[in-house]
Amino acid sequence: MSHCAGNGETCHDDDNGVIVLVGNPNVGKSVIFGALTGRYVTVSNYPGTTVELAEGRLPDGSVIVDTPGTNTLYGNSDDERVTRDILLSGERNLRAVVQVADAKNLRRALLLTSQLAELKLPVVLAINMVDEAAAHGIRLDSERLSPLVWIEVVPMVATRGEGLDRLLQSLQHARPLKRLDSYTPELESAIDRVEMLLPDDLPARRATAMRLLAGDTELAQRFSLNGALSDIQAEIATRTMRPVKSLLIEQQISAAWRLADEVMTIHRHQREGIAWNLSRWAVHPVWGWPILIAVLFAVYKLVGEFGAGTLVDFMEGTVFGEWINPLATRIVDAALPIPFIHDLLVGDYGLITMALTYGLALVLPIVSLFFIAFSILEDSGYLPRLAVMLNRAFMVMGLNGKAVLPMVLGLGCDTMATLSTRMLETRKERLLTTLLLALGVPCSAQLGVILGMMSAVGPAGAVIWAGVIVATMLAVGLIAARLLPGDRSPFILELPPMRLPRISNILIKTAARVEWYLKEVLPLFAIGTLLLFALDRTGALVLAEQVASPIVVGLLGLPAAATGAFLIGFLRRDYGAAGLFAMSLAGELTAQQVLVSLIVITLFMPCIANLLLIVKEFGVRVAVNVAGIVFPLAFAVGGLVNALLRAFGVAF
Amino acid sequence: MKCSLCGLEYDENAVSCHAACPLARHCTVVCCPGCGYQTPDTSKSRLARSLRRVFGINHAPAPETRGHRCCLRDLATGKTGRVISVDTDNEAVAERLLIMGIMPGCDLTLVQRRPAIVVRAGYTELSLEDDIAKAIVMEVPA
Ligand SMILES: Nc1nc2c(ncn2[C@@H]2O[C@H](COP(=O)(O)OP(=O)(O)OP(=O)(O)O)[C@@H](O)[C@H]2O)c(=O)[nH]1
Ligand SMILES: [Mg+2]
Repeated sequence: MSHCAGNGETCHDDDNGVIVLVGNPNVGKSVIFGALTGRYVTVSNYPGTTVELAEGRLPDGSVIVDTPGTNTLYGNSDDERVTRDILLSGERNLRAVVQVADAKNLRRALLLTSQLAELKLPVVLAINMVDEAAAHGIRLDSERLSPLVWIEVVPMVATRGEGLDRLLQSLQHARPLKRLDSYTPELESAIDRVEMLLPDDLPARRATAMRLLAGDTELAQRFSLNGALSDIQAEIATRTMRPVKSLLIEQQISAAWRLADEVMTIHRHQREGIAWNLSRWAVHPVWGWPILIAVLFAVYKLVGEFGAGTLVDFMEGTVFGEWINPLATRIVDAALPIPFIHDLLVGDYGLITMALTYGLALVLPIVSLFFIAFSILEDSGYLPRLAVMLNRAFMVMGLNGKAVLPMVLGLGCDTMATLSTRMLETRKERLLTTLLLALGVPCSAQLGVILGMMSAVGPAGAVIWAGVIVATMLAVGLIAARLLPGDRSPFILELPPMRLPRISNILIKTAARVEWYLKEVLPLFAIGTLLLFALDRTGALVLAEQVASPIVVGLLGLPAAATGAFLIGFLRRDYGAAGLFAMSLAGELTAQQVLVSLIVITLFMPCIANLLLIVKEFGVRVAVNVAGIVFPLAFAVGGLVNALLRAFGVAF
Repeated sequence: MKCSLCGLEYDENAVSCHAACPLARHCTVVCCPGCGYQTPDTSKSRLARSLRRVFGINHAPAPETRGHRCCLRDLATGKTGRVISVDTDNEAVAERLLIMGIMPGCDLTLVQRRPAIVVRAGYTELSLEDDIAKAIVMEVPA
């Protein structure tokens, strides 16, 4: 039973029926999921936080699933398809659907409700964020709404736990929705005709038929009825001069809006408080930039100076340098005085002196602080506003501002961010963003190490580093955008209200991320160290250093010992960066060498996990291509910078 | 215009210093006919106009858009208008706008134009790219 609580794997214990949480993006589904199951899934203040299913159990043992937010059941981005599949595929035995709605946006929520009605599944409507609606002077009469849609309507403030009990109770009385919309006769007959083409035992036939009419080529292929379907679509389109999808949605919208206006009263006009002003300044053509710089500066102060400076000094120099490592060495030598064991645990490539020291002393303090800073940004609602500020720059790279979200998430973890590219609409955008993430966006761990190494090259070096990375990404984005087939999708992004981040959520989120780091990253550090240890023992490291010497020494002008760092950099680039950091702390690198090695390691692939995820999401060919672009480019750019630094005799 | 020194209200297009002065055509300063106090006329100075645009402060909307139709992009910032139609061939755009509640008959407020257009539709704030905002035809109340 408990295996279901695990990592998003499906429970095949569906006999009692599964409950599905659906709703528009950013309405609080994941907060409700967390409160009901006790399982934490990421909660952030921007649309598109959840991009895959998460499963948990209610107190009574039934399975509940959190889904990516969606505005319609006819959407075509990859995260919307995830939601479509669980609702329409019939693979899971669905018992009820809980639709979560934002009380401030009832009209949009009821559009989704009217589409859910076609599923004929039992539904409960949870109207969340009643607190914010009240602050805006909006009152919703849920007592009146309930009989109009035939189902239970539960007002909630999920973040304060209000309404959760009632939601659990009303799940027992979940009923199918009333059909809210009525379609024109020709649309109705078209729906019937498509329905006839579908297999009899399909659970949500009518809803599937409507989704097919709305134009879902992938689904049409699954039922192999592309030809018949496009005939019907074309017939309506010629008769009404409108695409079928718009017709469907328009008729649903007008019904939804009528209903929303009936139960909603606005008794006071919107209060334009601090949040509103902050929101305006954050995207202001002039003040937006100083705010952006101030945000970056604050993050740098916290993570770069306090984390990578003070904390790392303490952990590396004092905790590990003076206490743990000498102590471990003494214990090992006293207990097991065998040279092999000594080297394995506390030698140059020792599990304690290298893997643990890098992982816990160099990287952990930095990532923890970064995760805190990052959570605050996520929860405040600043990230979508950053997308507004950077939209133009991203358009140059064949993307739109929406891609800012995964790119910024990449600063936390590139692998998660690659998954988040599902929120982008076209495959081209997903591929481009994945490539740029793999190429130039340093993840938290690496960023921290980089910030620490920056002190060796000073502000001028930092500017050169940032300039080279950004220029490389712009150039690659520019070229790849021209070469990749497909289009950029139009930029339409909803800006959620600015909210005061809740400390509890920030702490929980940070803890969840730190746990992830300890569980998934530290073992890779250990494997990398073992690998280096083995290479060192067998003499292969010396060999590798000789083989790589034309590149490492010749092209990049680095000491041969840096080869080891690059080798483990293939596993995780932050680990490679930590190796370089250790070299620079030991005074083995000049300032130019630090800069060149920083640039190369930043442009490396993030980690093995990232590569595997690219394989999973896009296939082996794309993954090979990405790696084939990234690694040679990293060395080429590094070599170029090295040559330029030498040619101009730049010193720091 | 109202003189900030003596408080006299006058028509800045008919002041005598401009009627008589040979340099008046490019002059961005007007003198109060009552006390002679000089006031810069920011609507005449190109520099002032572009600075206002950068800071997102609008001067009075051009007279031809008042009570008339214009596209969302040309609405004065801070102004609210009613959507008349969405003229785009791109079905994906039309549909996304529809779902976000932008359809004929609804009210939109233009919050800002740069660095990207931000509009408010009810309680929703949306950011759009220029081309989409050009396709939304609005009617602005007089
Ligand atoms: N004021 C208020 N904020 C809430 C409430 N419920 C959720 N939030 C906030 O809304 C934001 C979004 O919550 P999530 O649970 O991540 O929303 P979601 O529906 O899972 O979003 P996606 O996964 O992106 O579709 C977070 O910043 C929450 O803190 C509520 O009842 N009141
Ligand atoms: Mg979520």
